[in-house]
Amino acid sequence: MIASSIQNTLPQFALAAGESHAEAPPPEGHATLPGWEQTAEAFLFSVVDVGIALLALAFLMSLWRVLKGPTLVDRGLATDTMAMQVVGLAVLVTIRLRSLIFFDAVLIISILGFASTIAFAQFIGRRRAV
Amino acid sequence: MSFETFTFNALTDIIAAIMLLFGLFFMFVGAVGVVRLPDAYNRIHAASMCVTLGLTGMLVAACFHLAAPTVVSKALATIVFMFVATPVGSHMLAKAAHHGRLPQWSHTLSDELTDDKNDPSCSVTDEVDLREEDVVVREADAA
Repeated sequence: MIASSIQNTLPQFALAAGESHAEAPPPEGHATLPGWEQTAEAFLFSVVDVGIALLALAFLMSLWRVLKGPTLVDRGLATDTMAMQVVGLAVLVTIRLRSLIFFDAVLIISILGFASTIAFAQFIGRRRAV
Repeated sequence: MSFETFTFNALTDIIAAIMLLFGLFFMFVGAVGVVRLPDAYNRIHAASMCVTLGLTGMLVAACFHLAAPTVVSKALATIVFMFVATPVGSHMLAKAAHHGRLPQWSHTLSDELTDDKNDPSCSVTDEVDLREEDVVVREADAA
């Protein structure tokens, strides 16, 4: 029972990761899953759905700070926060779709956000004015 | 739904959901802090701290749900990078704001960097090390 359920859930992201030796057929619905497993996955997916909405709201709040922010420092830190929220959305989509195509973006967006924050801080510091 | 069907996958999914709730809470609190706090220095605090904790929780949740080596290695690299990069970035931003003479909130209690800048026995100064090209640009602006 346990082994068959693991074999049923594995191949989707094994295929997405580019491994060609996944020979098991894709799962035919989740009717064969044990009850606890089904419940836990449904709970996790509902948390992910709520989280996507919550992160979208947080993104809009940071965007409001970018548009309104009285100084350049506010705009810079709100932009950094927006980059991190995009990373969070990529993680949520990865969990929801069980595919790894968005997960490569996580490290890249965080590095780009850090570099842009440093560039912004250098700009403000050399300008000697906020 | 008997207890015999409580499998390893169910356990990891429940742990992932709990870590995801933890991360989402901190991400949303960080966004609320960015909007609501009165001062750019306070907003830097909210943004950096809450975003670091929140993304850590969400990446750990992804590790638990998709227990694949590629996911775990990339998530660990991202967590380590973020724990180094986010304090450095927010510190630089706060120092740039202080150099740009951003006024503080009226209820802020202390400003030790200004005290250090006014203290002649301290090595911190208000002067910025200007490079050659910056000096040239400033002279061109003044002329």
